[in-house]
Amino acid sequence: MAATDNTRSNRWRRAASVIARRVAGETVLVPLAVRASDPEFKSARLFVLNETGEYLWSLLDTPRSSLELAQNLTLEFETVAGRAHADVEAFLAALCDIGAVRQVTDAQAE
Amino acid sequence: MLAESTVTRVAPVAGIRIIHELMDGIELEHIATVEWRGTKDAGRPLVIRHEVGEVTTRRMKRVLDVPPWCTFHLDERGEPSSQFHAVFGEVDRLLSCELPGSQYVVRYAEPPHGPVVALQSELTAFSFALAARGFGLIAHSCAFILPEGAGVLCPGMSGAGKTTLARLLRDNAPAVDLLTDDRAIVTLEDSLTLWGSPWPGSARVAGSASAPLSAVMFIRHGNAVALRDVSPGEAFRRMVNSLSMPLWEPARCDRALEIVDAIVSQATLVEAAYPPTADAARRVTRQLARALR
Repeated sequence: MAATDNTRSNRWRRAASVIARRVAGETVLVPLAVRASDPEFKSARLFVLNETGEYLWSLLDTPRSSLELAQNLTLEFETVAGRAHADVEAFLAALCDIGAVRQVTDAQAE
Repeated sequence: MLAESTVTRVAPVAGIRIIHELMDGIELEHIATVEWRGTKDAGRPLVIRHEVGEVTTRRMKRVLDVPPWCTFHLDERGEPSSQFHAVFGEVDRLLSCELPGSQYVVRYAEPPHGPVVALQSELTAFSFALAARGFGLIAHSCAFILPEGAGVLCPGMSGAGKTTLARLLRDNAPAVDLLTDDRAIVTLEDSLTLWGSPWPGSARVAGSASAPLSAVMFIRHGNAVALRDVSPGEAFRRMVNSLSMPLWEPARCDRALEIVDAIVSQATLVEAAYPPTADAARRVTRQLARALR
């Protein structure tokens, strides 16, 4: 399921199947082993977050819509709205692809 | 009634004595093993029982395939198991956990045709135990100790030049104490310690000494000897796939990342380019020793 398939009002939060840790001064996401048919998967797949990625990841501690994320990004980094929306959609799609975020229903979000 | 068993002890590895309990007439293959003198004995042993029995992964969750060698599963407690496939005509077998960090069992689907090579199950059980104890990591790496006592880890996947470096140092730098050409162990207690292992590569290096981990040196072929500094971030990205990471369990994976963070934060990080010559090997170790002063 790609994040971009969803409307901006759908809400997202961090999944339990990923570990986030500061290593060497950077925030690293390590998806726990859930799938593999490629020998490369015997090693860790790592995702290092840049500054805006770290900021968005911190916001996903609680359920957020892509609209909320983009608004926060615009305020924090003085990004233009259109660019912020595109960045957030791409970020959520990437995290969704590695199982690092999950969509939550309104009931789960409360 | 106690079943009849034979016990084989492996001298301690990173302070952990390995005990193989052999049931049902199973024998271990010793011909291909290297001489391993062992480290100091510093903790509770790791017991690996070998027995014939049903090999089943029912009620387990399949989490990782490493074709064609093995498939990892999690049992109902979240403890890892490894099903080793009969790649070279061996018997199908399953390594599973009885007591995390201490007791594991290798179950063979049928009586083995002859003595079994324990390398794969021993290495995997040791890796599981290290993770369960939060004690350290196995690194796919060449490792050695400089004459001044500094431990040097040279991580890299197959083809990175670990064996070549080990052979060059063995033949041309007698003051260097070689630990391994393929599998080193890094532990973190009060400080980082680098250990050799009884699981060598084709250079057959299995040194049982240990030393404080002082440097991580990434190796690559070059036309001339040159050392350059590597940032912690680059070092992390370059070395993490050479490490045995317990990707199945959050707390253990987090502890493993903590150990990696300690490595890249505390050790001197360099990349060494050199041609595969005797003189280059000596110059690399001299330049590295200078960098560590």
